[in-house]
Amino acid sequence: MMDQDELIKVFVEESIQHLESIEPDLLEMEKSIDNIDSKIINGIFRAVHSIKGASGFFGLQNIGNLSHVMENLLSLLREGNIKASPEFIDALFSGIDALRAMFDDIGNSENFNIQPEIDRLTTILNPSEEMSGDVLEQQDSNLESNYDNIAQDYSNAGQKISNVSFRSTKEEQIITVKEKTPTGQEPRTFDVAKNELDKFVRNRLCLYTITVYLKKDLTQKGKTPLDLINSIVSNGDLIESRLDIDMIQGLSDCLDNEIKFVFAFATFLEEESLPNVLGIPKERIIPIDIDADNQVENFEQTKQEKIEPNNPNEIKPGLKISQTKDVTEESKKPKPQIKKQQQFTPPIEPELKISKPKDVTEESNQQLEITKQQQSTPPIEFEFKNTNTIQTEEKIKVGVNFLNDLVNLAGEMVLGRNQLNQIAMPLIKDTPGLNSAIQHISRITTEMQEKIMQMRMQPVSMIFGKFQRIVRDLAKQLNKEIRLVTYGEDVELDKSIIEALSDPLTHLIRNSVDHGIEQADYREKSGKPRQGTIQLKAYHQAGHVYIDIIDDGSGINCKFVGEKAVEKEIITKEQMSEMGEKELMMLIFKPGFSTAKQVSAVSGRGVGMDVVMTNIKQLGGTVDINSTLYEGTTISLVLPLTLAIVSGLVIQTGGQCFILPQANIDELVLIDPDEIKNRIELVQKSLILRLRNMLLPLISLKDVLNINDNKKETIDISSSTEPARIIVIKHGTSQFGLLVDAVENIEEIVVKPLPRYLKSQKCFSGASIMGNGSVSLILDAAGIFEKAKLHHIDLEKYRRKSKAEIKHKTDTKHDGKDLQTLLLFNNNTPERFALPLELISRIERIKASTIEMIKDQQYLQYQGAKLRLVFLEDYLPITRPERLPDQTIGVIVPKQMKYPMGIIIHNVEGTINAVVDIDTKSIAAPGLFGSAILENRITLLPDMYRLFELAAPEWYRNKSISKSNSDLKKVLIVEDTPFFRMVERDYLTSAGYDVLEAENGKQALEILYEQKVDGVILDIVMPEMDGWQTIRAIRSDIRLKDLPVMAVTSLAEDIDPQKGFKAGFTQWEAKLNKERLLDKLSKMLEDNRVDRKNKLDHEMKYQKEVAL
Amino acid sequence: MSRQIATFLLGDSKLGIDILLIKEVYRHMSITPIPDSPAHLKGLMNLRGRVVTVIDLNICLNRAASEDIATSRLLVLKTDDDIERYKRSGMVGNISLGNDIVGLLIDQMDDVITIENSDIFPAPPNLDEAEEALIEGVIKKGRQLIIILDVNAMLDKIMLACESNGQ
Repeated sequence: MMDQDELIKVFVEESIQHLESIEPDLLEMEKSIDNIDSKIINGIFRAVHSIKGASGFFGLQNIGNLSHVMENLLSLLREGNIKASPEFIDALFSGIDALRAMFDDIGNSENFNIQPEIDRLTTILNPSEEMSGDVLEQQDSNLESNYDNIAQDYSNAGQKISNVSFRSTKEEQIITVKEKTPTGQEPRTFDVAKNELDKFVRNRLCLYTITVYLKKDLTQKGKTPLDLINSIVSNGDLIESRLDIDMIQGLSDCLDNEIKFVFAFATFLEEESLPNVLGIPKERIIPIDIDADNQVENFEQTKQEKIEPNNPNEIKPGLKISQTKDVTEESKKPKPQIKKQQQFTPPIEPELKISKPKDVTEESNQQLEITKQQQSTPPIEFEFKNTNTIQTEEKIKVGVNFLNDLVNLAGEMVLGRNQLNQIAMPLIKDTPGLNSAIQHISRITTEMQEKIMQMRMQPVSMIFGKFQRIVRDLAKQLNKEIRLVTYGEDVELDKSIIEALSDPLTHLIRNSVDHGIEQADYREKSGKPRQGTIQLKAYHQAGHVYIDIIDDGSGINCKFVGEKAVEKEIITKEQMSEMGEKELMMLIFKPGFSTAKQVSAVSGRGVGMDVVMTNIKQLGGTVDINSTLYEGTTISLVLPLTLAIVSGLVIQTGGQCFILPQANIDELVLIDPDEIKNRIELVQKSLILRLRNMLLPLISLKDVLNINDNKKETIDISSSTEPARIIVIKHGTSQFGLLVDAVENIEEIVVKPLPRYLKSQKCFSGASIMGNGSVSLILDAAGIFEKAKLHHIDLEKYRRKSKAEIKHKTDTKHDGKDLQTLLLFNNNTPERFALPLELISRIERIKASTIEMIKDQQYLQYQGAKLRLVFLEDYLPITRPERLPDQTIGVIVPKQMKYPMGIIIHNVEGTINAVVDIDTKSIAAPGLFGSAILENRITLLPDMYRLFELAAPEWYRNKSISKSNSDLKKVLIVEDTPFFRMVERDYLTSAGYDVLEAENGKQALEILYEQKVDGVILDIVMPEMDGWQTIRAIRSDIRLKDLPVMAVTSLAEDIDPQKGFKAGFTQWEAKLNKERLLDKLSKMLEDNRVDRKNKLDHEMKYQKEVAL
Repeated sequence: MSRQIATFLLGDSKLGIDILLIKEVYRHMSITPIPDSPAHLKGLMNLRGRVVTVIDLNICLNRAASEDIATSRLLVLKTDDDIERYKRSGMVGNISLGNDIVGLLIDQMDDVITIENSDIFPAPPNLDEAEEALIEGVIKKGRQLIIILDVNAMLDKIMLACESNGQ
């Protein structure tokens, strides 16, 4: 958190930067004095403006006053009311010098005499002063009389102001506006220049005041006042900022207390959005009244105020100096009030007229008109552009080469430090002070290296920015509707990585646009929003930067990819049959592969993805691809933060040291000699490591590198007397173990590129010089993985394991079996029960006394309905609990019930994620699925719906499916969770269906292709091939397109049935809702029969007609 | 145009390389072998912070590999950057030494001789065919024959060996 001291420091630093940026602009202005670029004026104006704005915060009146005068001058120049002259620029220069001098000694800035500068500046504002005396006398008498007239008008109490003077006095007319405060509170007033106010009104800006507490609103949120001002300025115009403490005497008062600031500003934003934009609570944002009446009234007021002191001086401009001085002295008094500042720029209205001959005035008025028009159209855009120039901080430019030299030197320094460490290590004991000296050097080296590395870091927004345009253009070209969303633009990467990333990323994005996202019409048909979305995400994870390109397009058809690869002779048919989905997908990164059916201008020229892969690999990164057919593709790039220095694990094999980048390492495993037999197996000439419940392929580094120390056979590991040292390496989404001889230590290493002769070596990614001066090779995990040709090893099993691993994270799968979330509860008896959590809608806590008895049935008033209560002990063979009337008990309210029913329990014990192995034999009863051992306790699994049937047979009586004699209907259940499969099968067989089962969509399709099935019950969330994919596959098959398919899901509430029906489902039901499931199933099958019959009739009729 | 040739001994023959291509001669320190690489590559060495690829010249010339290298010297070649200006001024031909440093294992340095291009004769037919491809020509100095190596051809050969090894 910053305290005020630091805030002032920041303010000073930024202001000095502003001043420094003004100087070259002024010089530029001087060069082109007759034709000044309005951008330059605006730039200077903004810089001065923000100095003025922030100075109000710190009660720095001198700075505020001077910058205010300068701002006014610049504003006039901007509006075209005055012309730049060498004197004008000189005056500005002197003003800037004075500001600079004050900033250099901020503590004494209040004592600085800014009078000469202010005089000089006001002279520009008020040229008549120059012409006082002789010059004035020589003025054309017409002008003089004109001046007299106006002065006369003016002095006549200012009620009547001629149009002419009004127009030419824009800058100086001050209007006081009031806050719209609730009655009872004194509204604060603010002064606005009339022309400014006009501009606001013209642009429909609204005026607000905000009250800001320095500590509460800014510093505690890590903001500086400048941030706030910048955010105000970027959304509108700052009118005034002031300290709201009357007693502030100087800087010291600002430091300790909570200081309140008031801002008045104009913005185009709505009142509602302001609290968010500015981070200030709503109640402290108050709109300002700019009603016409109010204005006039205020105007009059101001007028009078103003004219009073000015009136006598006005006609004799020579006196003005003394007046200004008075005001300045007055302004040194503590109360910082802009009103006074305004006053010190003496009104120029009449003088302006005098100084210029009539025609010039007219001309300048015309010019003014033009400028006005130009300005009135794009004012808001304008503001934005200018804000940017304010916020860019001043930077020193350093050549990249110079930077690279520094990086190299830092690298060498790290090396030197490492060598020093090694040499000094034995001496440390005997040399006092050596240890601390070495540690000091060590620390400094590390820090320096980090700092130097940081210099090269750049945000990914550097490259992300251009993709919006690329996507937009491409989408237009391809006639698609695509939106690009980017996240994490502020993630930083080494400059060289950023640069090298541009091409691959462009390629991937193009690919997503071209191949990924479908045509809008097609998308709509397949139940997706018309507009496709491509997400570009950058984030940090485990010392790496991840960049994901996610599209919700058609996904990658692995089979198609495989076939294409065979066709292009990248792989053989046999290889293809051995490959898994992932491997097939990765084929798109092979050289010469392109799946685009048509070569388009955008992509599909057969080069590209392989280039992407090579580029990313060269950066030391990896590419991973995940795709679900019809749903989209995610391509993840994993990149190192920086190229040059990595932390690596030094390992030894065959008497030689190698380095493994730490980022690749998941864990180190040491297996005792007597355990090796159990943990490491030899399968098809390949080693497999058993690690917890995973099976990992194991690669011997010695084998893969062909290092033969001739001592022992490589596969002899099981008889080894040495413990096995294994490094578990993560490569993309796959893992493998690397068997090494020894693990030494972790070292920060400088990565040197491989000599050209080793470029073809897959196993190495670079070289490094170790602390002892020898060269070591850096191992490349991906290369080793590839070289060991791991996909031949027990692929299916391995893949399932790794997949289970991934799924594990999303909570549904574990170790190839199905994880289920169960609610554990008890009934105030020793027995424990569990119900699948997804069946439960709510658990209510009630007093036992609120249960109402109607005959022998119990009811609870629940959400306006009568909830029928079921006591487990009434139907299951369990202990009967004692229930006291004032006891609090629980009611489980299930999801998706036709009749409101609830199960009474005593206490919820918690939930558990477990693989449920249901034993249906040992404890069996109606209303009980069976039992399972969970957390070492026997747990009963009640069959909720069966219980309800038992409890309220009258509701269910007519619903039992009549086992008609007609043909036994064959229904296929596709469900991955064995528990649900079992339950559903139970339901269906009891209702008289012939049941087939499949674990996933793939199996289901195999069955459907082979057998005639009357209907399908399809789960949505499944591995391998989920319900959405399956239904699409079913509907795309001509033979199956009319097959009745019912979706059953626990997600029933979450997914729009419309989407389901669109995708092709005939029916839609929640899991385990027996009565509705059976209802819908029989209806579905019946409808289908009728449909088909009609169709058949229709066809027969048609055939008959044709025959006739 | 006269050239200077640095001569050195390898086995029982005397070889030479244009002195402009030579960076320095180094008593080798420790060489890190490169696993799974062709025999042409003896290993990697640290030369003041830069990684040098050490090449077994014997293998390149189809001779038996250098075994005992304790007394050997390393003839360190320049890089493309170093010879850029010679190339521009035409002092060396179109030679590419690459951007990373290569060192050749030799037995011993000999003297530097100054020759004219006309002193160079084509390789005699009794030389080994593989060896011949790496030879720019020979110089007869008294009774001795100095074989001038074609550095480009040699480096290309090594590269080829590495690439075929990598496949």
